[in-house]
Amino acid sequence: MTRFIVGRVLGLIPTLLVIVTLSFFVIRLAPGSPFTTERGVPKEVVEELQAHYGFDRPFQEQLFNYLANLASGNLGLSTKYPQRTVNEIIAAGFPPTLLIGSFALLWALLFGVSAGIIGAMRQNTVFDYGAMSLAMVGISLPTFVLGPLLALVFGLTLYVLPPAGWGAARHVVLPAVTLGTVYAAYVARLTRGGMLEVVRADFVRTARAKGLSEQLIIWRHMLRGGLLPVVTFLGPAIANILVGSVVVEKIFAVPGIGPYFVDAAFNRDYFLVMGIVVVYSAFLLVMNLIVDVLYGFLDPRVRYT
Amino acid sequence: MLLACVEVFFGFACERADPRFYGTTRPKHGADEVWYCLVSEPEWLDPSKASDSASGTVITNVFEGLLQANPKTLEPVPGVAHGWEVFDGGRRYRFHLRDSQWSDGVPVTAHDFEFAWKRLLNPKTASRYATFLYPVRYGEEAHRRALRISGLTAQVTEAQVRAFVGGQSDIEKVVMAPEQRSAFVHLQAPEGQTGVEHTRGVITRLKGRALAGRPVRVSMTDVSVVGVKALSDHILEVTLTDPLPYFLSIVSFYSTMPLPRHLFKRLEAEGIPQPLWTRPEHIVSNGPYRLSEWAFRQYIVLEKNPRYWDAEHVRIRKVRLPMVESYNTVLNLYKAGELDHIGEAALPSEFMDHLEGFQDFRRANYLATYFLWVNTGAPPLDNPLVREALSLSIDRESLVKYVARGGQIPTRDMVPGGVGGYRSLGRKLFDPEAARAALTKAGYGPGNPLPPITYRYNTAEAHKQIAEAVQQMWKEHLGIEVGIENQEWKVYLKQLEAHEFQLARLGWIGDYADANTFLEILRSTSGNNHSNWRSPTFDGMLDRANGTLDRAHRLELLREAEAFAMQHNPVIPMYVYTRSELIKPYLRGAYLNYQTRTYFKYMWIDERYYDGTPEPLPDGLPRVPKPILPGGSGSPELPRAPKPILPAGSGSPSASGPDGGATRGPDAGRSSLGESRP
Repeated sequence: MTRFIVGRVLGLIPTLLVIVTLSFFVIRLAPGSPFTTERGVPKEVVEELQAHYGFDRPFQEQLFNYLANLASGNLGLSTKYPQRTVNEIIAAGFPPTLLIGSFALLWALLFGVSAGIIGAMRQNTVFDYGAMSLAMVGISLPTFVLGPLLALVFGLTLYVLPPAGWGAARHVVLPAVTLGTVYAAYVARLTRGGMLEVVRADFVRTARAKGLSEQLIIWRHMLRGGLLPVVTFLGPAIANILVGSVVVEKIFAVPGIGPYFVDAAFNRDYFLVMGIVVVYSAFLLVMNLIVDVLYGFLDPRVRYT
Repeated sequence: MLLACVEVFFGFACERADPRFYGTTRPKHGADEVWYCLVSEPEWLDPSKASDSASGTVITNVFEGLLQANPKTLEPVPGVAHGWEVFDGGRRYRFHLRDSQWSDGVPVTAHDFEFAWKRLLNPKTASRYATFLYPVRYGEEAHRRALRISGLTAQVTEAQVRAFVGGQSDIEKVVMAPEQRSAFVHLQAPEGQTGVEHTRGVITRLKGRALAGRPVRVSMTDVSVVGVKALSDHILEVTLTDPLPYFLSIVSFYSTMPLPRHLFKRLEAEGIPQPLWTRPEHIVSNGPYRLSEWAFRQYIVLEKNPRYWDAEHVRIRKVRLPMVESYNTVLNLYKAGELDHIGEAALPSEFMDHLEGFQDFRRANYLATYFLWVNTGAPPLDNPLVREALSLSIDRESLVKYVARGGQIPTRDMVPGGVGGYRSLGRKLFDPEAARAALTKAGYGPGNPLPPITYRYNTAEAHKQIAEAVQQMWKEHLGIEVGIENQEWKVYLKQLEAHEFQLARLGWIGDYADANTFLEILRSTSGNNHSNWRSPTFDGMLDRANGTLDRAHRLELLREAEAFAMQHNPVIPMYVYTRSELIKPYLRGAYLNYQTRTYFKYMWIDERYYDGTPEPLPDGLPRVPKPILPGGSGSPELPRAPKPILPAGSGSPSASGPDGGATRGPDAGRSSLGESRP
């Protein structure tokens, strides 16, 4: 097991290296520069800025410098927020994004798993249809519709929650629900499917024959197997949910890292783009690794050597 | 019904909003606070480095320059300088500073201004607005690091200097400075070499050589030669190359605000990197407010600066500036009372018809023109008749009324009327008959269709709608098919600069209230001229106008220059921008002007609104300081302020100045406006 994990972690490094190098090329291929605006900037100023950021160096040297800095944890300077390092920017944006993401995940699991269990245990009843229709609605409603709708109802009609903003606990609710709903819907459908697969399995019949209570059968025996598809789905989903969403964070004015995925590229903020790419890919790779490890615990048939 | 039930269920009574206003009219905060939307994170709070509008708003309220602007008319009024004198026909200014303090109690002196101005012009600072101080003597030479040849005798001529340098480099221009016993030479660096590298090389090669038989010193120009000098703690003297009608407006702009030299020295001694000086834990400022909190991309909080010289008149003690980028979200927050003023946010045009009916909706003309660049370099647009036909067949009235929908002012001129007293050309807006005639005269018609033309815009819904409308108008009135095409902003700019387009939209925001800011971009040497239309005649006309001392005559010459340029249609103007704002009725003293310059120190909260919605009252005139001169009354040569006559039409509060004064101030700021506004 330990050997498996160590091997996988070491394997992440070359993968990351390839991602970083490719992205470094791609962002530089985009036409335009971080310093162009519609108002012409004097040539002297552009030259000074180029030199400040090291963009006047040969390309290979820039890449090498970037990788060397990256190895020491330095992600470089932002051109859009010139007083900040990329490390600072990501460090400032991550907490709000993580907070929203964690609550969204919690919402997704609470709602999704319970709806899935109800659906499976009361298959083809009104409960099943109700829960699954709700899930269908959740999957079909894009966040840019759900978000403003929630803001309108709770923020501008009922006045129970602020329509947007950041800084207090009440600001977390609407963005978390908006972000989590689509995942909740997927989780519900996957849980239901997973549970239905094990509901007639031998080990469940054995448990029943032993005279165990229905509660115990569901929680101890069925969920372990029934949640496997959910776990597979959750790996990349957690990575996605925790690195934020452009749409949700813009709608609710959350100062997270979501918008950088788009804005940094538009601004040609080279180092910020790279920083976001590095953080996101590292996150995604680690999450997938965790999922693989979790499999071992949940499914007795999977063993790592 | 459902909502009503939910309301009862939750036990929340829906606030009954006054239907005359958009959303709640009861302040959600104390009577000494303002919540104003900043939209985006300021790039720099350093006056020398800032160039975006969010930074501009914060700096304008946290620092104060020699002069400030009247919040309504933008006429320059006293700031740190309580008075000023003008000498040498407008070439030399002497500013007299009042006793005032930085927020840490250290006195503000003329030396702080000299330091700030020289830092702005120092190329190492890499300021985007350094060009604002090019009119200061040798400002351009210092910023562009011209080659300086010193130790010259009075007899040395420009020709001798040219001959001396000529063998080593191409020369752009030579500026003789006999009083410095120097000459400044602007070199032209060859392709692939930066200016600094090239100049260094030339210096090495010229070292030790004699000019006119005498040894000379060759060096790179630095800021020590710039014509700004603190004569004492209280007097700052500025020398200009030429008289500049709008110089006082520049002096009220945030780029020229003073810097706390003592703080820079302290940080250096403590080993703290200089760029961090604007962080709340370090910053020292001299304006009505000081920076108390700065949460990256969330909000900024300003608090009243008790050491400000005019603190007794500052009524708002705390300004909260949330950064909210989505304009729809801004609207929601405003409606819920989480914002008192939508500030720098733009209202989406699809909401305009709905919002216009509310009493808290306000609109003012804006110093900016929406137009198409025409690439005159390639057929068929190299033919002036074709350009004339395209320009005359746009129905601008309909465009503004049905597409742009922000009360914009249709125009076929480059300079908005009224800018600094300028009388607009008033060219005929729409004449499909004449347009068809011009096209026929150019030789195009049913038998000989116009070669394909493409109209390009940067990706944005508002620009797309305008492009489609214009495309339709050309089809209807000229019978031609024009393609439209969008591009992402940075790609778009790159192709504009490379002249790789036929027709391309842009918005130009005036830097200062003078027609020159709109005409200068048509100069053949301007980096902002994307048209390929280059006319030495036009350049000469502009030079002649700007060299003219008499104001009225100068404006007339500028007008002739515009008329000349517009005959050739290197641009196809469409409308003058407006700014539409939502401002809560309880927020008083929030004046609108034709730039986005906001002064919180004039604002106050009308406490009547805490107990319901009373009749709104007009704001009246801002109470601005009057100049006091060492000699007694008014400045001897204070340039007379022109009447603000922005284009008629929108009953804008900013267009009806109290005492007629408005020498317009510079304000460029909105680096993203080209993208975000129709």
